[in-house]
Amino acid sequence: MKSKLEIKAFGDRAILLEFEQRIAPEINLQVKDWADRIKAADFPGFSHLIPAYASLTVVFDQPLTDVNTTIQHIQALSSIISKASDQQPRLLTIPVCYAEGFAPDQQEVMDKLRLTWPEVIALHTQATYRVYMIGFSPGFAYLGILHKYLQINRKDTPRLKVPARSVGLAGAQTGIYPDELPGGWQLIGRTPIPPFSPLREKIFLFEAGDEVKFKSITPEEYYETEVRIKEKRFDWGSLIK
Amino acid sequence: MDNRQISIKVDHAGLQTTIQDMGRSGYQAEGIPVGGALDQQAALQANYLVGNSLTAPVLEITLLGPKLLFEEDTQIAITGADLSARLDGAPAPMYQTIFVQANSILRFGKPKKGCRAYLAIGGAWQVTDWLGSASQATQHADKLTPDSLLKKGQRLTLTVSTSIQPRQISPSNHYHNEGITSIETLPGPDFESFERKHIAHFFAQSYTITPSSNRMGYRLSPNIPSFTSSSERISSGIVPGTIQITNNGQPIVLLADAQTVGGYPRIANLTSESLNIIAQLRPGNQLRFILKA
Repeated sequence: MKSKLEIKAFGDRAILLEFEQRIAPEINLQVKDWADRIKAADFPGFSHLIPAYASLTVVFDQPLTDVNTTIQHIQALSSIISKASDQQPRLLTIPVCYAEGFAPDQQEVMDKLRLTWPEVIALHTQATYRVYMIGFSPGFAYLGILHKYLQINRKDTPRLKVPARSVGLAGAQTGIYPDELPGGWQLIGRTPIPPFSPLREKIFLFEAGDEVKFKSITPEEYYETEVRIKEKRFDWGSLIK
Repeated sequence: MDNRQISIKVDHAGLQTTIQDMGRSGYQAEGIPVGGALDQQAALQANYLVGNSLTAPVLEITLLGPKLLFEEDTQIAITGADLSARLDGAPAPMYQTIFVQANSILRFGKPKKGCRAYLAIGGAWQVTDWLGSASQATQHADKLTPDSLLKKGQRLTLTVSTSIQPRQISPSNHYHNEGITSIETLPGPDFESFERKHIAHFFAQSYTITPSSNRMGYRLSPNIPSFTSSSERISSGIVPGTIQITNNGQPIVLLADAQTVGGYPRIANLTSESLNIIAQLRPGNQLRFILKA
């Protein structure tokens, strides 16, 4: 498959690989493909990657290499056949409580989308989403693509404090706030599962390229899971199919 | 010489004094900012002067410094901003190894020049690391890097095995800067998407660093006139030194604690050297961007 790829200097310590600028699984798969190749090549001076929707930032350590050498390393990788597109991504099923008291923007979302609340829940839980990118705050996964009936603008005035683990909608994206953070997404529920657990051995719940489904749970199930996580009795493996 | 434990008591913490090293590379795909000393050159110099590993922790001291009591004999060095350091009442020299006797007090006064001083202490720091770095974490810092933001009454402890012959850095490599600072940049990844007149304006204008500037980024004033961003861009990576232009035309220089992705167009990137220079500018200071050929 011949694909559009632009390689640009990004300051003197990074380069940027830019793919066709659109949000689509096949474009994001190319990002993962290149990320895998670059990690495997581990060229001298390579430091780290920032995969995004349709771009990949490659950061290197300056005394060990430079922009031109890094670009040459990257170009040399273009002939390598990658396996990323053959790999089956992980599927995580995340329980979400959409009940009253867990969905601060319930009314605004129903009014603007002209849907009933059961319709919102059905549309949000029926799709399988892709983790396109992680950013904004540690462990914040940008999931897409939302059903067009669920696509809604951000709030006019962002909240100064969105409760940790709130599930929100913004444009074609959905996501979970890992911590209490400022934010303008429309909040439709809350999960007991923390996407960022800095003191756990496995710190991050998601990685770019994962698949995610949401499952509706009752407030009782929400609190039960919350307690099990707190008491370290939760089976994290149960989230992954 | 046997290993010995030394401790330094924080009598007061100063405005914003943090432990910083070279940061935590490798977790940016999960949204973790790199962090680390903003003026990396000054941090490396300070560690060199006390014989530490160049990537060891240092204290990054912002404008108003702390008051520190050295409880044992110690070697230290101060680099970067001149914040009127005084050791037992006498001016403390900068950019050289200082031998500090037990029960000496180091304090800081008026910030004379620059914004951030770096204090290295000879020895191995006994400090909580998270993901390979002692630098202050941007989330849950109280749990993850509890020692990093200095607090009154805190004790810093290090293990010292050797002392070194005094070292110094030649004056040509000291921090010195006056007037409007020239900040060298390279074209950013979205440079070509800007109109010529906006690019011309960006490099002709001199900017003031606004008070809402911190380790995440410096917000500059004034905005680029008549700049409006039409379409929302697809979010993409950010590295320290990225200059983004917000929808209303405000340039923001992103620094070590900035988030790892963003959606504003990236007009230019600071060179690595100019990142060290801008780290020494404070709110109210002026700068001008130049494009490196």
